[in-house]
Amino acid sequence: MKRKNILHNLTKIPLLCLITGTVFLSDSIYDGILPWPSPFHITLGYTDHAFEFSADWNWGHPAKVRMNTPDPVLPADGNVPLEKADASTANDTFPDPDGGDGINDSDIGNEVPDSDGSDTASDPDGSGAVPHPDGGDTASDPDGSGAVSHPDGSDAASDPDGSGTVPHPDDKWEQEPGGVDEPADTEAAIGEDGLPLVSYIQVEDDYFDDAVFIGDSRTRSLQLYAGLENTTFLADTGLTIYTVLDKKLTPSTSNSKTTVTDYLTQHQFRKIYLMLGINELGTGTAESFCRSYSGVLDQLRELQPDAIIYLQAILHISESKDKEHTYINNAAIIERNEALKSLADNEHIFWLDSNSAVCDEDGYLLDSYTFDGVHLQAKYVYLLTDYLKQHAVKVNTPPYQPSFTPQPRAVP
Amino acid sequence: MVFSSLAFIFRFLPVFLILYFITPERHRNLTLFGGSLIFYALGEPVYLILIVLSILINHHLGLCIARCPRRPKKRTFYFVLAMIYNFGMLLVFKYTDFFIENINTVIELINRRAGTGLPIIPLLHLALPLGISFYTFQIASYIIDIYRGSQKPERSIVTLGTYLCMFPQLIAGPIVIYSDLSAQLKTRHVSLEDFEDGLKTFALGLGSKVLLANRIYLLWNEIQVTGFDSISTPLAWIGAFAFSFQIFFDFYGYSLMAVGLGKMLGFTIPENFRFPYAASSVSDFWRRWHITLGTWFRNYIYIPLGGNRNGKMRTIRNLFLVWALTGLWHGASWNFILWGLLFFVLIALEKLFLGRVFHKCRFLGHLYIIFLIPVTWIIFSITDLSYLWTYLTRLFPFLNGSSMWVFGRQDYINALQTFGPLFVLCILFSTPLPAKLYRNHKKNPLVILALLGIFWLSIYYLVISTNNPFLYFRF
Repeated sequence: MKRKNILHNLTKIPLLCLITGTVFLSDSIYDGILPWPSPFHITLGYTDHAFEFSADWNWGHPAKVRMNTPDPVLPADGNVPLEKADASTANDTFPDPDGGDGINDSDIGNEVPDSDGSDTASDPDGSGAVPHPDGGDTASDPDGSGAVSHPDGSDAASDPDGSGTVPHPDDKWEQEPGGVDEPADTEAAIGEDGLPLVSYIQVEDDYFDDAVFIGDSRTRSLQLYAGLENTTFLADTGLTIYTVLDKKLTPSTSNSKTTVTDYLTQHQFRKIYLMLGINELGTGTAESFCRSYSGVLDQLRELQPDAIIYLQAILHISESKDKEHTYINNAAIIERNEALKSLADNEHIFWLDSNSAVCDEDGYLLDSYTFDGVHLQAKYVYLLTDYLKQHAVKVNTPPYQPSFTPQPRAVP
Repeated sequence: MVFSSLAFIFRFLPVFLILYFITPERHRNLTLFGGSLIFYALGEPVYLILIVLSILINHHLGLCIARCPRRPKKRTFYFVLAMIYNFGMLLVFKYTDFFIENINTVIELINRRAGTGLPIIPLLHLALPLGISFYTFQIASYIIDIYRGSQKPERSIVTLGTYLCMFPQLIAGPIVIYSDLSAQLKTRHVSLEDFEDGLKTFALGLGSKVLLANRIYLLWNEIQVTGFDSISTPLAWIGAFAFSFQIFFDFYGYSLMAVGLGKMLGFTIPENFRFPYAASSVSDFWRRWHITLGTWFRNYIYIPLGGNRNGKMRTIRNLFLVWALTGLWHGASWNFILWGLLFFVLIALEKLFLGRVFHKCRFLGHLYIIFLIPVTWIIFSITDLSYLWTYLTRLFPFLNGSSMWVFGRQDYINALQTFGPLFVLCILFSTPLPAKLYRNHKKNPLVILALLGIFWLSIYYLVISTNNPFLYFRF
C-alpha cells in the first residue's frame, strides 16, 4: 500500500521536470543561489545589440557560443582593467570648464586646475595637477555675464578644414553676450595633450536650432523637459552605441519611426550632441565600448561633414544608486568617460563633461535632483541645458542661422 | 524569496515538491513545515527565530486556554498574555519608529514654542520581519477561536507550525483562518488533476505579476523619475490608473500563486480577490479586495464591537475603529491612516444614503469606483505627505490654482502610445470575463498551450530582468 503510494507519487516527477525544464539542472541565469558550484553554467541574455548565449562547463574546458556579439559580457562589478588608462590620463589636461553654474567668473583665465569631477575619483594623480596653460587672456569677460572662456588657441589653430577663415567680427558668434574672447598668442594654441585648445562661449536657445541630440533616455528627458522646441532629438530609451545608428526610433520632429542613419542622410545639422553609455555598462570593456563609439563617430562624421560633434560624458549616478554596487556604478562610468575623452580631437569632436553641473564634489549626481539615481527630474533638466548653453564651442564654422530648420540635403 | 523569482521556480519549488511527494502522506506536514522554515530563512534568516517563537508560545498558550474551561479568569489571563505577545511583537517591529517619530515631532514643537531643550528620541531602525503582519493575524485568529471555544487547540507543534508558516501564504497572505485548514492539515490527498490545476493557477498568478503588474509599474516608475510636480493632469490620472493596476495585479497574482501552490500541496486556500475594480460601491469594493483581511477585521473586530446592531452612532464608531486599524495595518505612516479613514468616510456615507443611490443606478456606482479608487491608491502609495499633496494638486489642479500643463501636452500622449496596449490588457483582466472563459475551457488544449505561453513568457521577462536590468529598467 505504502509502496504503491510512493510509486504513484514518483510518476509525477517527469511532469515536474517537464515543467521546470532543463534549466533546473543548470546553474543558469542567477548566480550564487546554491552554496555549491554547479557543473554547468549557462548565461542567457540580451546585450541589447545581440542575443547572447554562452555556456561553459565550470569543471571542464570553457565553451562559449555567441551569436553576433562583438563584446564579451563584463563581469558584474565592471572592473576591467583598461589598457588605455595611461593615454587617457595624459588627455585629461585639455581645458575643461569647472563649475556648471557659470557664475564663478573669477576663476576664468586664472590658474585653476581642471577640476573635472570625473577625474578626481579615478586618477588622483592626474586630476588637476596641471594648471591651465594660462594664455594670458585674463581680460576676457569683463562684464561678467556668465560666459566661460578658457585659455584658448587662436582660431586658426582649431580651424577644422585648414582654410584659415577667421570669423568676421560681425558674426553672430562673436556677438554672443559675453562671448567675446580675444585670441591669445598662437603658442598657447596647442594643449599639453597635443590637441588644439577649446574656447567656449555663451549661447541662447536658438543655438540648438540647427543641432541634433542623439542619445538614450537621459537625452529623452532633455527632449521632453528642456523646452527646446526647435531642436531635433533622436533619442530613445535603451539606445546604445551598438544600436544607435540602426534602431528605429521616433524623431522629435515627426511621428513616423526612422533610424538615425536615415534621418541624418536626409537632414543636415551643424551640431551633434551625443550622449550614450549608461546602458552599455554591463556590456564589454571600456576599451571595446570606446572602439564601438569611435566607429559611430566616424559614421556620423561621414553623414554630417559640416557638423561639429559634442561628445558628452556619461552622466554620473547618485550616491545611493552607486551604493547598490551593481555594474551601474560611478567607477565604471568614470573609467569609460576617461576612455571616451580621448576620442575628441578638438577640431570636429569636442569633449563636453556636464557632470559638474549636476554632481556634488564627490562626483555623485545629487540625490535631490533624481528619483532613481540615474535620471534628472524634469524640473532640474535646465541645469544641463544651461551648462550646454555656457559651453558652446567657438569654432571657425560659419555662423549658425537662427531660423534654421532641418532641410533635406541638396543632392549635388 | 518571492514566488516570482527564478530561484523559487527553478530551485526551491522542484526540490521541495520532490521531497514532499516522496514523503509518506502522514509525514508530509513535517516536510512542509521544514520546507517553509527554509523558505522563510532564505529571505529572512535573522527573524526566523521570531516566527519559531511565535509558534512555540502560541502552541503552549492555546493549550493552556483550553485546559481550564471552568476557570474564566485563568483563561482570560492566558488569552490576554497571548494577545499581548502577538500584537506586542507586531507593534514593536512595525510601529515603534512611527510612534517615536510622532513623539519627536511633538517634542520639537514644544521645544520651539517654549524654548526648552527636550532631547529627541533616537529611532530604532528595526527591519520589518517578513510577513509579520500576516502571520500575527493568523495566529491571533487561532487564539481568539480557542478562547471563544469554537476551535480546539492543536496538540502537535508540527501541525500548528505548518499552518502558521506554510510557504504558499507565509509572506503575503491570504490570511487563512485555522478552522478553514484544520481538516486539511490532518489528512489531504493530492490527485494529479489537483496538481495540474494548481500549476495552472500558479502560471496565471505568475503572468499577472510579471506580465501585467511589473510592466505597468514601469509607467509609474517613469512618473516618479520625472517628478510629480512636472507631470500634466492627464498624465497624473494615467499614473493613478497605472498604479491601481500595478497594485492589483501584483497582489492578485501573488494570491493566485498562493492558491495554486496550496492546491498543488493539497490545500484549499481561499480566494483573496473577486474582480474588485468591477465593484459598484466602496463597500462592494472591499468585499472583493483582499477578502481574507476584510473577513478578519469583520469577524475579530467589527462584530465583537457590536457591528451595526447598536444604533447608528455605535456603528459609525465601530466603522471608524475598523478602518483606522485597517489603514494602520497596511503600513506605519500617516498616509495609510489617512487612506483608511478616507474609506471610513466613504463607507459611512454609503451606509447613510449613498449606497441606496448606487444600488438604484449601478452605472453611477461603477463610474464612482473607477475614478475614486485610483485616487485612494495614490494616497496609499505616496508616504511623504508633501509629495502626496503635490500629486493631488496635479490630479486636481484647481486645488492650488495651477495649470493642467507643466511641460506641454506631450507627456501623456507619449505614455498612452507606449502603455496603451498594456492598459487595454489590464482593463480586460480586471473584468470577470477572462476568468469565466478560463473556468469553462480549463481542459481545452488551446488554453493549456496559452498557459504554457504565459508561463514561459513570464520566465523570459524574469530572466532578462535578472541578467540585464537595463532591458527591464532601461535608461
